[in-house]
Amino acid sequence: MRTLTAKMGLAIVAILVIVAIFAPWIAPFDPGQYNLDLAFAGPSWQHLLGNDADGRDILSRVIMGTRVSLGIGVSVIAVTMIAGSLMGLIAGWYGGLADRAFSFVCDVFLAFPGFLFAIAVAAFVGPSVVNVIVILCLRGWVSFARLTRGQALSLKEREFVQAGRAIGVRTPRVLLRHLLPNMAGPIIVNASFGLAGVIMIESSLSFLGLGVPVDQPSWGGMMDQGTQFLLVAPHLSIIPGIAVMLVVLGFNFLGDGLRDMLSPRGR
Amino acid sequence: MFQYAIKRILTATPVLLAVSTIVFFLIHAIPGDPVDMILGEQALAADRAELAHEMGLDQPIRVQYAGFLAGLVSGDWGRSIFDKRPVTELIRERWVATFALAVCAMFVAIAIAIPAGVFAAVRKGSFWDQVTMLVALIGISVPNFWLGPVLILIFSVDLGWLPISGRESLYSLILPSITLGAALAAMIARLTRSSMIEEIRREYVTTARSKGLSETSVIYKHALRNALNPVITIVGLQVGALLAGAIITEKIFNWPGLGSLLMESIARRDYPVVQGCILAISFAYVVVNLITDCLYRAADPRVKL
Repeated sequence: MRTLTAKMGLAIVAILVIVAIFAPWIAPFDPGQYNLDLAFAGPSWQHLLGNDADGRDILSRVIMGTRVSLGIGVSVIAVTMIAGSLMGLIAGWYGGLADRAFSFVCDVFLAFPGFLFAIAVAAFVGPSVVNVIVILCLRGWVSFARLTRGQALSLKEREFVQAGRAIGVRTPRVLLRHLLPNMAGPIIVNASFGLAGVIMIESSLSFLGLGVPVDQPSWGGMMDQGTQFLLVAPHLSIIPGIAVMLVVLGFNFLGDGLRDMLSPRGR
Repeated sequence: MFQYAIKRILTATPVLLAVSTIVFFLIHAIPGDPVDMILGEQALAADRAELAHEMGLDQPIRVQYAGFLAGLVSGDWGRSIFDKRPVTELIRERWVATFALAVCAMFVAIAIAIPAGVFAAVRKGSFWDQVTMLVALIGISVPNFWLGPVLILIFSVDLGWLPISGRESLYSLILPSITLGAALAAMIARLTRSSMIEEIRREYVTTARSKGLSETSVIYKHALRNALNPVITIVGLQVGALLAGAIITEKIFNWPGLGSLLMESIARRDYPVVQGCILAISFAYVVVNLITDCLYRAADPRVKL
């Protein structure tokens, strides 16, 4: 069962990545093309998921939205994983005053719920894809940093590290070649859950009108339009919501499965 | 205990100060001139100067910052640009609705999650355990801006049992609470399960069983009590997520709380109110964490003070 969920997660993620990469070729219609004759039209053979309030093809918009959501998710996790892990590693390794200052900065960021922080900054800088990425990076590094800091604190006392230092291996090499590979498992698991979280926050921001601008297809933005016409055309909000759920579920499945595979006490 | 509480308050103070500093500088993160953003570029010079003066933007940043902090402490959080009322008054009007929503959501989450977690833990590895945990994982992955509309369609539109939106009666609280509490319920259920599994393995449980106590008594009176300790900490930490999640839930259900006030103010570019709402929510978060921490230590004497 456990490996089954991991496999399901991997399958969902793989399909979504393919959809995201080939989105412009897979989408049957131009996602931005208005056709007011088809406004609120339900699913039909030509438009499999129906049309939105402006008559745009929902399937094409969902497909293009995959690209936006995954693009933002992957960029944010790539940046925060590298920056956060390195900062945590260095703080944990050197300890002392720098580490205490570092932990304080982490505590301050953690004093804001992540989503509130994103809303707060987005409210002032305005909606755009680049802004969303920057905002999510500003807060996202903390979980990676805390993870590697904790690991560095416990690993640096271990014999293989002491041995490496004793034979004169330089610090950067100890950190990158000896410590980091030993933390790869938890970092990857954290990245998988992180992707689920980032995509959830991005679509929530877009739902509030603070994320991806309305002229670009995004799942959250589609939900926002959909809820305004909930009683007229429920499919407008139900379909993009399922897309968000599927992606988040995929990464959560994957993270759960990976954690169980990588942790010796896995249950 | 008392000493610990004092120590904890002292460490929370610099965090609150840092949070306030970030919120203060947000207004300077606006691309271009905040006054232009609020009034538009065609505004008259006199109006612009008046607004800049009213918001204190014509003063050096040191003075603005000092004034901001002094205002925070003395309870003067500025005035709304839109209707000129004090920000604290607006927040006072709205926070009760958000608080009620968060408490009910928490109640819904705990009422569903703890029995579900225990149910799964005592059947560890069985079909029902796996089904419960699968449902929980799906629950974590459901966005509340999807769950809310779906609940409205089922219970308000199709069945006609509950109001679609607003805050007229107690019934209006049901759907928003479920929407907000669902993800938390899923999380608590997973935590309760793993914490229970750990406790059931312990020797005192074996002792309780060998004394001939009934299984219900062993599970609920002995194991669950200890298993709940880590759960309480996490629940406390999640209150912040709940307050932030309430912003979306309030939008869906037209719930007149802090989240709606925040979103209305963002739409009107009423920045002092935006700052006030963010401060209020983050302060609430820090304070709740502090209280949970102290309660946790009071409840579990094994935790070192």
